[in-house]
Amino acid sequence: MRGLTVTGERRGPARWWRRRSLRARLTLVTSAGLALALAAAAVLLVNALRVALIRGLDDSARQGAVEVAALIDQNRLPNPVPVVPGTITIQVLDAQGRITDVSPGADRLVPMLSPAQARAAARNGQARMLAGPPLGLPSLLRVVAVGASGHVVIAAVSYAQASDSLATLAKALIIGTPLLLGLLALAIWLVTGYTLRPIAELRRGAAEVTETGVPRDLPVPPARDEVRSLAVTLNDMLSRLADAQQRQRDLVSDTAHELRSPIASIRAQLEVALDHPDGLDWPETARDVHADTLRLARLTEDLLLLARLDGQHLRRRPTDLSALCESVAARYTAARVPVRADAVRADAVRADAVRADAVAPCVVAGDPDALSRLLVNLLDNAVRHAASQVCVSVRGDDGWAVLVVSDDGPGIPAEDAERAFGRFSRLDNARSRTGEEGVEGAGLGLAIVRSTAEAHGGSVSLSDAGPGLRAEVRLPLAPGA
Amino acid sequence: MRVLVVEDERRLASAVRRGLSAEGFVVDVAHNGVDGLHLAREGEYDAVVLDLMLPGLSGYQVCERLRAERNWVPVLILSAKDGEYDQADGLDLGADDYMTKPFSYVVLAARLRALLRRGARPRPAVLVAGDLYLDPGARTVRRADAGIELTAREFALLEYLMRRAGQVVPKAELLDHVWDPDSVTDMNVVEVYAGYLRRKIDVPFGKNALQTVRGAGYRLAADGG
Repeated sequence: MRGLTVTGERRGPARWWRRRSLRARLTLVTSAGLALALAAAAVLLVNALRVALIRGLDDSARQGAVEVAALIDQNRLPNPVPVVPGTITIQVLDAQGRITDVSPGADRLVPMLSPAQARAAARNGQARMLAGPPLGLPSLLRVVAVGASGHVVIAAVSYAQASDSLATLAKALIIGTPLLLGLLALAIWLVTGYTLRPIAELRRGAAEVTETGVPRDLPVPPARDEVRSLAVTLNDMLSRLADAQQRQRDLVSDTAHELRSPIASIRAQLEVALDHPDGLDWPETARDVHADTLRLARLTEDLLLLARLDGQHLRRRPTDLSALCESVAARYTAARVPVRADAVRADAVRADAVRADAVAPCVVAGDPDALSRLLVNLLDNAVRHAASQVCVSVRGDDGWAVLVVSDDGPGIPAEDAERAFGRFSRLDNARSRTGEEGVEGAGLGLAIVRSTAEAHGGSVSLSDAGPGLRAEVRLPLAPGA
Repeated sequence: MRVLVVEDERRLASAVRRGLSAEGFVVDVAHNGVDGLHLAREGEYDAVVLDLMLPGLSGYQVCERLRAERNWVPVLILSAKDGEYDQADGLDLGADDYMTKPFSYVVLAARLRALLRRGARPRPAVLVAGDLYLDPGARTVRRADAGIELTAREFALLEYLMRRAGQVVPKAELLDHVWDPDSVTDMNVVEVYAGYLRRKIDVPFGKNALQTVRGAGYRLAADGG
């Protein structure tokens, strides 16, 4: 909130600028750059043309002067000085600065350059710009001087045409450049809009998702550009969110359903007991209600664990699966049937039910609590259904730790194997609900096994152990282990 | 009164058994669908309390099979499934009542008594006349295996006639029960629709199920014509 307030309080052009759309900002920045570039180009063009024009004028003036100087050198200068009328004006000064010869129409009394200026100009060969009217000529002039055997020839050409050309060009540029700039800005505005349209569509799609609350695909533009990868990434994110949402919904509806059964049982028992108290065996009723309450409690714990696994809140650290198996299997010494741990280390031989093969430790990056819950669920399930014994083994297999729990009970038909992992699934065969009081499954055990394995990047599969059920969990070995 | 409770939650089943026994019912309990169906077929029960999620056979299947065998014992479904369509499916398959878990035992007992009052007269979920079938739940009509498309009004007319199959139904009664009496007063509309219906359910099959009884009304032949 603080950041927003600060941004909101910023005043002046920066704030104004921030509030423009991306399209407007792009158009403005690009147009401003273009305007500068076009203006610079126009100035350069006018100047370059001016320099070229002046050089041309100077050259023609100088050429005229040189021709006259050549005539003077040969002492063959006619009077008046012969020129093409209207193109050039010539004055010839003698050593004292007097005008000796002129072209037709030129001033015979006042030289265009003072004798000193004329001599200097003749020496350095530089042209000068002079105003015409004081000299009786209509426009600006380019004037050069050339020395010739004691005389100085001053030649002037009119700058009027060049200045007209320059003025015309400047006028064209002053009108044309902004026009061009406007057209370019419009084109930029349109192109930016076109380029940003997929983003606008993305925004509209996202707004729809927000409005309806239903995550669905955003439009992916056909062009293989950044916007497309953004759309693809966003879609990926949305589909993950949708999956998570669906899982959550499924969990809630499964939960609601499964919690109803023990609650219904408790409620019916208590209501019947209260309705018909005579001859009631209260201790037995209490035992039954207690059993249902325990079931409810275990269900709640399992649900919390599943929710945690769905949310991927695992505390992973290097865990030796063999050692874990050994310690969990040790808890089953008083179970219905013996539990054989086949894959613990050689030095761990203890109980007669435990047979040990020398196996290197299988270290996985996992949450020890979640993994031992996985193992307990598999073992509980196996012990419940086994006829004479349960085997558990761990081995490494090409980057994977393979944990196998097998029993010799009735097994599960192959077509039901996938369904067994569903939450609260109930299989219609000898394995479902063995009927012994107190051992009925809540239906979440295998769902927790699968969620745990998948949360660790692994998998679980059921197969026939002939007879019995073989559950195989594959977890990626910790790198470097 | 004998009641069969089919419920795989043993403690729940035994609590219900104890309660109903204390109220004077004779109660048998089955813990799976197969046993439940067997008992319901063989024992002469006055009502069945049926769970839906059962090992072996689901409650839906048990109910459907009983009705298919023309066993009209009143069925009360007791299930943790509380979805609208779960309940509608159960009732459309021929169950007479539906309660969701957790339930009030007092209400369960009262509903059972109400079911028993109604008795076990035939209440087919699908109406049958010979090879003509009409399923009000699924809103489908077929003759043998051929499906027949009917408009809503034609369907209502046929349903009314099939519920009274073999009896003559006066036109005025059809007009009252199938049409909105405030908007339609012309008796001819019944004849028109009877004609439509005949063209769909009889003519293509060479049958004569929908019969005109001069001066009295219409009769749908109980054997399907």
